[in-house]
Amino acid sequence: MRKLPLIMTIGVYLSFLALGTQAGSQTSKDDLSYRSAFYNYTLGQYAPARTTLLQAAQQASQPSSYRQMLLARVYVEQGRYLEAQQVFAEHNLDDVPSSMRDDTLFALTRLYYAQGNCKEALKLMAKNQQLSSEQDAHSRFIRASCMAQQDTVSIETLQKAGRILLDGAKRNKNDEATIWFAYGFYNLAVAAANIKQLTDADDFYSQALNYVGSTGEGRALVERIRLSRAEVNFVLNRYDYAISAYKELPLEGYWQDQALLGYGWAAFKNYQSDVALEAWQQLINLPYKSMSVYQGYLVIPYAYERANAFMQAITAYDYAMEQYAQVSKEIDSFSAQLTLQKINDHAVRYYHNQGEGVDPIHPLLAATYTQVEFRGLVEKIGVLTGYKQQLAKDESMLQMQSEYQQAYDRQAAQRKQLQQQLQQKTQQGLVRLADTLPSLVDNILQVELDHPEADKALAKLYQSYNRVSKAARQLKTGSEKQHMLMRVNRIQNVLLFKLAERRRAYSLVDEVHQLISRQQMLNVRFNEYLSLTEQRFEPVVNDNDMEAMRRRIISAREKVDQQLVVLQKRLLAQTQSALAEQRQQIEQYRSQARIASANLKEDFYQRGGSRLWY
Amino acid sequence: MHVHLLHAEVGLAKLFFLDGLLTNNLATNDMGCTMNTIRKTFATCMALCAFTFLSPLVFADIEQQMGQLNADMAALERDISSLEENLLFPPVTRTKVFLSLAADADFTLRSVSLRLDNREQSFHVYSQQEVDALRLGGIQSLWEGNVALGKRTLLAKFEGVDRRGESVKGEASLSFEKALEGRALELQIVGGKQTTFTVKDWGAK
Repeated sequence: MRKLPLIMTIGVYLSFLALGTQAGSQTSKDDLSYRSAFYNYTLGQYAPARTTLLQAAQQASQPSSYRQMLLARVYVEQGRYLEAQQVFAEHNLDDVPSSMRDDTLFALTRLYYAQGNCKEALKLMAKNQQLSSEQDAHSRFIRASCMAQQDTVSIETLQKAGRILLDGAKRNKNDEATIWFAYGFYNLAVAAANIKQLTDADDFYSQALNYVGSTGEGRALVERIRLSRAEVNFVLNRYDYAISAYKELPLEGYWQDQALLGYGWAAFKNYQSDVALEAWQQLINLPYKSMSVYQGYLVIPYAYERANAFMQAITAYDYAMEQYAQVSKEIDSFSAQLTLQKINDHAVRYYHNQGEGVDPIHPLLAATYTQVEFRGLVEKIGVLTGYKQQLAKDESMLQMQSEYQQAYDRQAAQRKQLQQQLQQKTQQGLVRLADTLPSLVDNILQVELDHPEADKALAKLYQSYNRVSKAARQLKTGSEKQHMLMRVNRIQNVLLFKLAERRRAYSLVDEVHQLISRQQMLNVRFNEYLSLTEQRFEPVVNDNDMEAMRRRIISAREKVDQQLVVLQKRLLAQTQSALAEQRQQIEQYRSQARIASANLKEDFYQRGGSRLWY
Repeated sequence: MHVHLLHAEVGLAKLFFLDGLLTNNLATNDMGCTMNTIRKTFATCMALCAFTFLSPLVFADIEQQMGQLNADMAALERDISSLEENLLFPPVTRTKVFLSLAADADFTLRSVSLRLDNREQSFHVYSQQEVDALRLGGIQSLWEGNVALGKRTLLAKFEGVDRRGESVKGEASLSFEKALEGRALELQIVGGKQTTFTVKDWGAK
């Protein structure tokens, strides 16, 4: 698959540092949402970062400028320049440190430029107070390219833009930054070529080659520059230069078809027909059939004709016509079979792989799909398909939850009954324990203190306790009895404690002590449980919430579907239109081949050529 | 992001077929075929012209609709995430554990094991990218779950390497009372003369 050189988002790490400094600063340190979103943002997980920030904004009484700034950055990274700009415009970001603000401004500038909006890009760039060296190189590229894109561009403007780039290049020497100057000079060269200032274009290409660096991206750019430079030299009739530029392009390279076609032409114009024919033969044998290859079918007989090899020329013209007829048929049949589903599937694959490693929907449309209007549609279809998947997931989550809720509700009565039974059982157990433990202690006290050899002081206390205990039990049931029994219990515990003090090794007393404390703990927990059951815990999410969410999901899905169909139709129409254009070009070649062939045959006849045929 | 490169109008396709001989031939012969070609060319041109003129209007509309749809989807995503969180982790039992790493901590985190009341709840192995994100000031939402009311004990065990490349282990624990509100706790790896591991209780969150 053909690919355009990709640039890694420049200055990303620096921008992380700027935002990270804020994540660690005291102002935002207490903001868990901001720091959590920042963590996701740094890892490139933009969707959860955005959701966290939006949730925090919804819950907060006052908007936080840090969070808004981070949200703007998230939108920038997601390529949503409208939302990013809106966030930026809606909030007063004066209290945000300038480094963080500048960084976001620069990111927005990049985004505007990528969207082809030079006016807004330059406006935002003017607001930037300080740029890192890489950002400086990038911003010079944007300024120069915007100057080159003006409607009434002149060579003076381009030279001025060139000086902006040169000025930056003098200060900046590292590969990652200088490649922006290479891209900048490339754009200036193209603009110069477009206004027919080809010598200047050649100079700009030559300057671009000085800044490509040694990265993989730089090497890809070198190929592109050499190809363009060869073409410009060809038009300038500097065939030797053109040939040497074409020769520098790798045979297995990305531009091999155009290189072979151009090399052939340069050689042909330089009176080296043999070399030209060899290159063109190689061209038509390429496995990948592009428009350059189809041109190859036509230029071969043309070369034969110019070399007076008329029979070979006529045969080659006829062969070309056959090829053109066949490819036209193929285009028609392909175009007729192109459905919305097919176009959608291709767009989704293309979007997820950024066009790399994806076979073009048709060989003749490889370059077409890299154009801005196609890329825009493909990207939108990709995003919408992602939304559809997300909505399906959300809906299934809601469905699952509803089913769970229904099952839960169905069992509610049974569960309540079980709960009550368990509660009752626990209560009875606790009551039993409350009865059993004092009598157990009584037994111990009786065995230890109710005999003549017992500690006299303790035995006396025990006898008093016994009298009070009996009296308390004989009281009528009521709060007074309850109160008395509690006091008696306390006395009983004190006696047990004193007994344990006197006879430290008496393990039974220890065990009873533990039992009593566990019993008390169980009582506390049971009472806490009872107090909790008195509170009415309303579910945080109720059926209405779920239903409302379901309706929102359905409505969003309908909108997504509608929009998706619009985009699919549009991409289909654009694809078919691009194919029709290619077909028309093929048809034109076919006509040219037919006319040239007919002329040749007529010439033969006029010159008694019929005899030559047999 | 694609670098926006300008498109050269001076290309081979334009150049080569301006070549005299072939174009002259086209003009002088096979009139029927030429007329057909002209008709087709005209029709295609008309279609392309209409396409070119209407494109910006249609695109502006699509952009607007996409913008609205993106905003709707973001709001839906936000609300459904809240709903899901409330369903799965109601505030009564919700407990969140975060993890942070001080930028100056002489410690490269490799893994963290999180135990709540002696039961392992989470084990996370860190990539360099995650460590960098933490060092830059981010905070990782390490675990979110439901915890019953009452006294709970959180124990976190950290493993990593120090500046000299030597393996370092550390742990931090916290006893806390889970009340009726949601709770947030932060495992902190703090720098200074010596790396320390602590747990910060953010209280109800």
